[in-house]
Amino acid sequence: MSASSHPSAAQLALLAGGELSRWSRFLLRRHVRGCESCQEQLRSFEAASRQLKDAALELPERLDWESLAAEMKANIRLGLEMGAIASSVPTRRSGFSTPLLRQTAAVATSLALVFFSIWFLSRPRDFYHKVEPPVALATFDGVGVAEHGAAMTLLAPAAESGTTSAEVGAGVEARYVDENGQVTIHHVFTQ
Amino acid sequence: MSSRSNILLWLPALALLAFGSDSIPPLPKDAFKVTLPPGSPVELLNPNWDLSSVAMRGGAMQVDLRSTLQLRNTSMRRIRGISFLVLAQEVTPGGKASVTVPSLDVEPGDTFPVKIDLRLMRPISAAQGPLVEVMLDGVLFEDLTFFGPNKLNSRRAMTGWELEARRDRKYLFALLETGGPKTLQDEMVATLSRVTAQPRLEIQSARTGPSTNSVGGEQQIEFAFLALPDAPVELTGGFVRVAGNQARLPRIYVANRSRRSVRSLEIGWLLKDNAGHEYHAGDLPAVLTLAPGGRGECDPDAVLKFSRPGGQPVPIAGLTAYVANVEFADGDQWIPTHAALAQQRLASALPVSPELQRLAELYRKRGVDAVAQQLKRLK
Repeated sequence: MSASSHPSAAQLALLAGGELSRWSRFLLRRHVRGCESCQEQLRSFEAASRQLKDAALELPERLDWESLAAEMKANIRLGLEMGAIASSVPTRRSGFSTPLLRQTAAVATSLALVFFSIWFLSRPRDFYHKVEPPVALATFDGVGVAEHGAAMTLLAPAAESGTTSAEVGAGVEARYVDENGQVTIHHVFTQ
Repeated sequence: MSSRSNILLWLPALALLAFGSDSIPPLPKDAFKVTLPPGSPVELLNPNWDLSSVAMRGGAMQVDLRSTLQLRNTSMRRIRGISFLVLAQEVTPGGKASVTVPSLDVEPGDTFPVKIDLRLMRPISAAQGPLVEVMLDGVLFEDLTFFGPNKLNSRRAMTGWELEARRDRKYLFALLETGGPKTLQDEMVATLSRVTAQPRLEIQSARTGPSTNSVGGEQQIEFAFLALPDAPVELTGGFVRVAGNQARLPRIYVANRSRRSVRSLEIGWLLKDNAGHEYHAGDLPAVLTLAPGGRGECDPDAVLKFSRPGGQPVPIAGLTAYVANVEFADGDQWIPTHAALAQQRLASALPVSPELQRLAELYRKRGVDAVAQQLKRLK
């Protein structure tokens, strides 16, 4: 790989996340060693990836719910992207049907993950008090509940309309009407 | 582009094809489990998890469960609603979820879908076993009888939605009878406008931690109350601590004004922001026994945060509460009448009922005649 054919941001993001195959990793590492601009880009991806991983896996017992909510939003967003890819594949077996498609999905999700983490880590924190996990979040993309670095998210169907609301003391709820007119109500509970 | 460049371009792609599968392990065979209780009035037809997948994300495992449960009504009665409990106990020990489909009309022998799209993130080191268990929590029939373990109190919720559906259909049918299709059409257009104009909120909810006793800038504000005619329970007072876009530790005092014992109620919340816009923020469900004339209070351990999509805070300038639902000791429920809702400012702030949303969508897709047919059939 020459300096005139730099790897794409997506490839560097995958490299930072450790999600490339051995051969691709070898090729990219070889290029990056001799390319200052790629080194810098890779370092920023690695830093973002590390910070996100820390946020996801090393949450303290009593945590800042902003970070949990952000984690779930990332979850929802990634889920939608994965869903869009998955639903376009007429496959009969679990997972993605071809290695190339898997890589495409990995690129999309890793990019989203990295860009999200950069955005999240750079935005001001507006929270002033701690809360007791689990934390529930309702958005128009889905509802989720997170606790101690793990999260469960119900993703919204392809909805024509939707509303969100709180069940005070019990969780959150989202209501959707899909293209067939079927109403689906998602609820996550915190108790 | 030269052939050498082409080869250089394709080499990484070929490498991906050859070595690309090492980061995505297969889903465990017992990853998902659907449980129907003995005597269930629905049967599951060929659950399909084909689009589900699992991937490693750093030190975490990400599982996407995508399925449409095809169910058949094996009972002799029409089904009006169904609710499933979704558990991922190893992922969220304190959390659970439900997927409910109200406003159904499934005849005996007919099939219907329930779509479940779920994403899990969990540490790789977590124990083995089913990642997700989906369990039937309840089925509501046309005659308002119920089947199921009701662990999530889905009986009360689905009965409430069904009563709302009947109230709204009755109102629409009356419009059709008195004003003809044009009047019904006008109402459907107005409903669609309400659905479109509904302000959107992102809501976070949790329990308060012990470190939250003293918070700078926090003030205690009194709830305002909307008195609905004929409500069996009266809201007599209440307050909540508010700071910016967060509200916590609400307390509302209630009195049973009816001659019947009450076993639970739901108190609706309207949130007013700095600009005077009003939003339906949610409901406060409370299980409390109130004898005729009895008094009680609802004080859930809760902290809520409200934002617009994108994260912009919605500053809380005021909160209004009203009685949204009362369940009596014998299982009967009270809901506000259509006239009561129309006379109050609730009409613009409240989201339309699931049934009205469904009918509005039907109108948008198939026109007023389709709605009129449904109203006649479900009369």
